Amino acid sequence: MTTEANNQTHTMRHYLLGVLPESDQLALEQEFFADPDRLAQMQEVEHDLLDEYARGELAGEERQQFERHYLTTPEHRARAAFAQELLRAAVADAAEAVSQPTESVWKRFWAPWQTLQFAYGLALAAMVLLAVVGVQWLRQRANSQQEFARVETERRANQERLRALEAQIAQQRDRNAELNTELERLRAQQNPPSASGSLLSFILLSTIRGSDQQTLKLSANASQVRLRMNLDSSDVDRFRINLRPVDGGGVQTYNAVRANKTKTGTAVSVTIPASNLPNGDYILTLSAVDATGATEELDRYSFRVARQ
Amino acid sequence: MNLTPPPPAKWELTREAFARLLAGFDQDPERAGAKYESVRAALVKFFDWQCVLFAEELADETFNRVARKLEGGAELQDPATYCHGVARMVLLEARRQPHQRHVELEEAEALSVPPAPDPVTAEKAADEQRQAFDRCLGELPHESRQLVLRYYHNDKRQKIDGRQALALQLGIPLNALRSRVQRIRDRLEQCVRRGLAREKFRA
Repeated sequence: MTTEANNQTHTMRHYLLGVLPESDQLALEQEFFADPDRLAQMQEVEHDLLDEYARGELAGEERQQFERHYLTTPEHRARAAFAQELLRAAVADAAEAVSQPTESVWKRFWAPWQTLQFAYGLALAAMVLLAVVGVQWLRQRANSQQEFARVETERRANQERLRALEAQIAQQRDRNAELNTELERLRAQQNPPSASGSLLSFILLSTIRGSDQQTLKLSANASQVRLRMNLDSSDVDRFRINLRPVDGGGVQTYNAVRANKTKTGTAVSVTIPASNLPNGDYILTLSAVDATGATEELDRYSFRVARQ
Repeated sequence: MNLTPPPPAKWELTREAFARLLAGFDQDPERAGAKYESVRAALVKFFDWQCVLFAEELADETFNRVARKLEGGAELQDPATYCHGVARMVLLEARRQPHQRHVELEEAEALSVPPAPDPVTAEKAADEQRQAFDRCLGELPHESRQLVLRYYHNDKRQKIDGRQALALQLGIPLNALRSRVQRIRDRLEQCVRRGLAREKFRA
């Protein structure tokens, strides 16, 4: 496999494990939306991940990511169970193939030489050959049986883990539903944003935490828009903001955005020319930037711009 | 766990709106159909890989919104990219639904330890899964069965060599082998799923 192909596979695995940075996610999604071959390649990588998990070849962090992200849906857990059955059948089939002697080949080989003058010499040669083949066959059979036993043990262990996950997830979903109801009640108490003057301030509410899409009404005389996002707390002092129109237009990126301390936590603000916000739906992604320049997504906000 | 699908949107896709949607993909009906199928497959996998429930319904909701936009007189420069953008918005909304909340394992572990699954029920479920799988595998044509079993037999180290050898033996390129095996695997998986659903229905 070439380095480029390796990199592609690596990126796709990270996507499926839910650890690919958002900008790379978007790029990969655009590729598989535009190219059916790329989509098929992604499915192949997904099957490989499932098979590696079934074999117990996924280790350490990758295994944890797989269980914490991929296996969170019943659909994916059914796929993991299917992969285990497929592996069991493949290993059993291989073990069976090894245990069946290739009699017809020997008969074909033997037939032309079945005369008395060769009988004794060939019998001796055949015995030696059979001994060699026999030893080889026994060795292969032992290996296959060991492999089968190992896979079977791993399969049972995985099934136990899957069942435990199912139970944990069901409980957590119920709890989330209760929390969501409470969140909706609290949100209803908040005031809707307002707009006036040439500099318009707007407080965004986190979509990830459950807020509905907000509508930013721009008055005709608004020239600048200040978007503010409140964070509970943050040790980070540098942020990056990506603003993406939903209809696929260009992404606006604001680097080196600073935070201000407030009474209740931290607030991040960015001021954008109103002309950069034509009518439409937007997704804003707020990421923290560390000293090395690496980013980590913190929150997302969804809003609609409507001019009055 | 709430597994009921989200309530349907008020706007319904009509025959005319669907025809307009197809025309938005391509003026030629055959090419439009192929592009629609390709984008639909990408949408379903997109939602599925984002670990939200009801991927098929969310894909349909995405198309509904695009069709609505076209009804309003919009034109699609690049339908695949546009659908991707709308799908991202649908995803954000879907994640806010209580039944779609993403659960991290550590969150779940922080809660009290759930009761251990009943071993008799678990064993029965595993048996049903195995029986359904074996039945479906048996229903495959012999060549397909051998192909899929041999393709998935090798472990991580021998996988690439094994698959290349298999492609060589069949006289087809590796990519063609991949596609062929993927189709068989999909068919097998669908068969197992249908079989298990039937069992559940009978019970």
